[in-house]
Amino acid sequence: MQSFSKPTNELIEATIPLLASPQHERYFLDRLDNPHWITPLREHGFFQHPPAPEEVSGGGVRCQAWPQSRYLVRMASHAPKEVAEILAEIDSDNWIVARDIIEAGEEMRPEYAAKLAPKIGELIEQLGLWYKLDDVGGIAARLARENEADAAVDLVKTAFAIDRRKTTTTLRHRDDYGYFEGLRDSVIPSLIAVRASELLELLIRWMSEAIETEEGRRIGGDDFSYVWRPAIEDHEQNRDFDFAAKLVGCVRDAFELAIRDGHLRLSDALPMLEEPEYLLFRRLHLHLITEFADHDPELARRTMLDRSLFGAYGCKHEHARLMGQRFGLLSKQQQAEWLEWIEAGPEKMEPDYRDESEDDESRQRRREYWQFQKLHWIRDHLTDMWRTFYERKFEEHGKPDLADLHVYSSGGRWGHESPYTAEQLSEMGFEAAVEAVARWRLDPEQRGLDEPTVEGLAGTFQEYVALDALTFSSQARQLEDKPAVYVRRFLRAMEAAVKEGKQIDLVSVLALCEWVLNRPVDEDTSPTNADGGLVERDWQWCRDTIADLLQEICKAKDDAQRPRFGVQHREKLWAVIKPLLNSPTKSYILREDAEKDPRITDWPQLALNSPRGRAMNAVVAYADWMPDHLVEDRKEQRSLPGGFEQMPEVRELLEDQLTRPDDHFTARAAFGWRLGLLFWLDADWLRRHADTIFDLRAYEDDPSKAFGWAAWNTFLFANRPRIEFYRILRDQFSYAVDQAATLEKPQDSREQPFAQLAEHLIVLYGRGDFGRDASEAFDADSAIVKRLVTTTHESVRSHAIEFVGMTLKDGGEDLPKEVVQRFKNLWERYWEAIGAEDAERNPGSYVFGYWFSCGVFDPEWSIVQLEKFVTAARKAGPDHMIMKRLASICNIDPLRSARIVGMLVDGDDEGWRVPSWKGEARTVLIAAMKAGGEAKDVAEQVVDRLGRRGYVEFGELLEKKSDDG
Amino acid sequence: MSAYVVNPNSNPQLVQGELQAAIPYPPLRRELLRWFQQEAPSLAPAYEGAVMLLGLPTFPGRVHFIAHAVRDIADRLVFVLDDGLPSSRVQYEHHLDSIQDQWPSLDHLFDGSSSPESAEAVSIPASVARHISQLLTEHRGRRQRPSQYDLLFQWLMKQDPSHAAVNQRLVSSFKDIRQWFMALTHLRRTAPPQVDEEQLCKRFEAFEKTLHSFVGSFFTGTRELDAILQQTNQ
Repeated sequence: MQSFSKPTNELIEATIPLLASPQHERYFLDRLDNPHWITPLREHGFFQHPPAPEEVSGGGVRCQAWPQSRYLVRMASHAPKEVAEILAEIDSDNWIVARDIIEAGEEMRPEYAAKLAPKIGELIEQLGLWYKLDDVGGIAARLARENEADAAVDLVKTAFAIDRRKTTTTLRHRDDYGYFEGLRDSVIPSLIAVRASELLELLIRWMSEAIETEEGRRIGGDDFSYVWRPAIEDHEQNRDFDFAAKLVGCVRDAFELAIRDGHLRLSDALPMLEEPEYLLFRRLHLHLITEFADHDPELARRTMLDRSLFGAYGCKHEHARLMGQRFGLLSKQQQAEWLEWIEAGPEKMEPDYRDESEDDESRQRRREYWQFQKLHWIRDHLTDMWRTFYERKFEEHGKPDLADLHVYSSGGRWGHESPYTAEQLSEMGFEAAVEAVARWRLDPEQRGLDEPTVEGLAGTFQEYVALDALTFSSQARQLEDKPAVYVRRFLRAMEAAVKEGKQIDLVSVLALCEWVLNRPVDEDTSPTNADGGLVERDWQWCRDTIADLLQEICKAKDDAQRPRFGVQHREKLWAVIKPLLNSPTKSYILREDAEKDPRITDWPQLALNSPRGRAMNAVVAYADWMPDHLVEDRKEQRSLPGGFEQMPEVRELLEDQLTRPDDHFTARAAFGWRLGLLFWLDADWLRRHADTIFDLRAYEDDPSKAFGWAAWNTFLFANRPRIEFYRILRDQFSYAVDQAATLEKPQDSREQPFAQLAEHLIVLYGRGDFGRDASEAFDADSAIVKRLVTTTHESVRSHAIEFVGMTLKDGGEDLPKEVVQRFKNLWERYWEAIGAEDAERNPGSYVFGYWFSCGVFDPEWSIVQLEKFVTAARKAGPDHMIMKRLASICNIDPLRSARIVGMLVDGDDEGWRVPSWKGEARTVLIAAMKAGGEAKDVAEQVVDRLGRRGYVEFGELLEKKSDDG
Repeated sequence: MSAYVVNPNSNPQLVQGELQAAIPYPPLRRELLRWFQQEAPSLAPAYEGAVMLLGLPTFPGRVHFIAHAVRDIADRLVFVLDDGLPSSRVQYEHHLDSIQDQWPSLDHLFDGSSSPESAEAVSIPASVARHISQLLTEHRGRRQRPSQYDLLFQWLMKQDPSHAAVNQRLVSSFKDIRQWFMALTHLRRTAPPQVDEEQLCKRFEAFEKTLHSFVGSFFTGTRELDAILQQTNQ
């Protein structure tokens, strides 16, 4: 046995004051490995004040580890008596300390663990440490095996109890794993051997309480356990999602083990299950009779011939199992008696759920099916006429449904079934296939989850059409007068074919489109009501598909990048496009915030998912397609010669859209989407109409009619920054910057419109589009950049600045000096005006982090700015990138570098930042120490602070210094 | 060590230098003195003086001076460190002087119909009532405020990254040390109690170590602890 030296009083008295600070206390106790210190530390009050849980900002509670309890865990095997006494007296809600107490219980000898057991039970109950119950089970098992059965039972009683006062949610959300691991693997095997009856009574009580905890789980004695635990034995139909269902398995195992190992007789076990009122216990009772029929064959026979059980609804599975497994115990006469019950048929015929007619034939069919189900229980024992009957029925129906269960759950499937395969449709030929598809109806006899649906058929039809799009496209008109769902799938197949570069008969397809567009939009063509809302009831989805198809047609290019569909289709295409504009404006995407504030709404997404928006995109696609037929090589042309004069139909339609009374955001968005195209097609037209298209000021009169914001937000989203656009939209940019000062919600994600506005302006500024001289550019054009970074909403200006660093971190190395100078000026002006205040308000700011880490800016300037930034924002990020760069350039300014490290260390309140850049911090601190002077002093202070945070390995740097010195 | 004789003609700087040479200044003490000089300069001389006197067992009245220094440092340190902290003292004497000036004689408080023994209530001037109320408010506030020792360790714990609460074991132990010295501060009619030199040094060191654990170099402390651990873990 290991021996330890006893500390002298002098040593103890000299040591205690050194442990005043929590850091030194932790340092010492984490390393102390001598049990003789327990008593003096106890006398000095070291074990009296475990840290209490503390609330953390943002919600939640945090617990600190307690070095004292860790020390006691280590000493538990050496000084179990003292450790048990101390831990038993601790009163704390700190679950880390509670875990240590449990761990100490595992470490100490059973006679001492028994003293700690009540405390462990209390902690589990009070703190809900369910996940530790596997360990607690282990302690109980050890106690039970080593003559501490009383303590084991008491521990289990407290720790594993089910508190009925706890809500259903509590029961469901707690960690079941530990509970059942502990109960099944440790508690039951050990306690059954020494206290079988006591444990089984406990289990019965907990089982009842688990049933009662689940609201709506019982009506009188019926606990519906045949639903939530279909079989008592392990069974593939058991879906043990909840606590009670899992507990059934433990109760069963405990009874089986007790009887099998001779700790309890069957005749003593069964009465225990007769007392509780719930059905589950009747089922357990039957289960045990089945399992241990050889212990009492007469009881098994009596039970099988109990007529009341024959029709007992809730016990069907266990009764069926008893019959199946023990039918052979019955005499021939008894077997015949039981089969007479089958012969007699059901006492009461349940009404048919399929609403079949109640004629004699139907009744007979159902009676025979009932007999077939019952015979299925004893299928291995059947002879003669009953075997013949069973086999005939088996051939007819296959395995009977729900013969011994009340519920059945399959693995579940996704998608829809089709009555035909694509191959079967191919064999029919197109015309017959279309007819077969259009005529198909769901057989009312085949209602069910696994049965075919219209959607399933439509999907297969699309697959079939895709097999030979060219041939089938020429027969497109066969689809006329057919339900919308199949027409849509046909057109989708055409769209996919065009996208894949396949040929189609465009004339026929456009003719079908025209036919669709001539149908009343709200015409109901659905072939069935059986699919609920899954099948479209009108032509709108089909019209949307036409819009998508037309876009693909206009985009389609051949190998030479010329349009695949010739200009001869111009009129037909336009004839199909134009009526699409009468589509509704409402988006399929429902957003609560949509249209509340059009300035911050994601119009591109809403427009893309609205009928009118898709139709407008088809118009724009057409406008993009036409010039390829008008000019030889459009890349050679700065603009389309003749402009919209070459496409008056487009111009007319666009102008109509701007003035139509039912104009809407989703329609207007399309103007912003392809602004570059409109600029190339007819820049003069765009200049003339820009203020109408992008009428942002309408927001002041009526935000619900400020459609210009849809075009604007879409423009910002879909177009790269270009000075040509800025020149046309100068007023809009200026107005939007002003609006950015009035925002109530942050706009800091790159997907948000005002963040995109910031990015546009920053790119133009960086390029020198506002002037090459840095100061001049900052104040140019009514100081638009200055306003952006000083007066807009904090989130917008912060994003503008952060965007520079984020952009430059990926390949800004070769940036011209004048661009770098402009950005440096931008930062300095921002920082001076408002940046420092922003950073102080947001200690976790990333605003300068990417600037520093991108490596574009000279190191001296970067370190000076970083120090200012980190002084204001102690949790500056991305800290690991900052530190990586700092470690590589710290020799340039070791003093500032050391100060920066110190501030970042101090900012790591959570304790997870420093570990990610310890190596870099070490590099910086070594450099500062080598530099000497103030840098060295600062570095030593930082090392000290790191040591106090537990990073004691940094102490080596001081020793190194001593060695060097 | 030979007895120290005060020489009124000696150069104070020289005396100090000689004393410093005579007293052990381990790293812990050096760091603590430096900290006092930087963070609580008004208390640094008292600490330094106490350290010096500790090295001069024959210096007349040294225990009294050392005890005063320790008590005053313990009591005032937090107020020196934290400028914004209001003093916890209540000016009882000042308040009582004000009340006394306005307090009417008993005869004036009773009209002829009742006597001081039988009266259930009396009227006093409003200004006196205000003074009494103010005195009681301050007294109550003092009782409810954390002690200066709690405040001191709260201040020292500010830099603790774990943001743990102040350890009451520590406060209590610090109060004990302070109390031990406090008992030695008063001059008595009779001869001063004999103080065990070893106890004096131990208590003083405990006082120093407690403060150093917070304000000194972390690794100076761990080096001392490493030595102890090496000895005790064997």
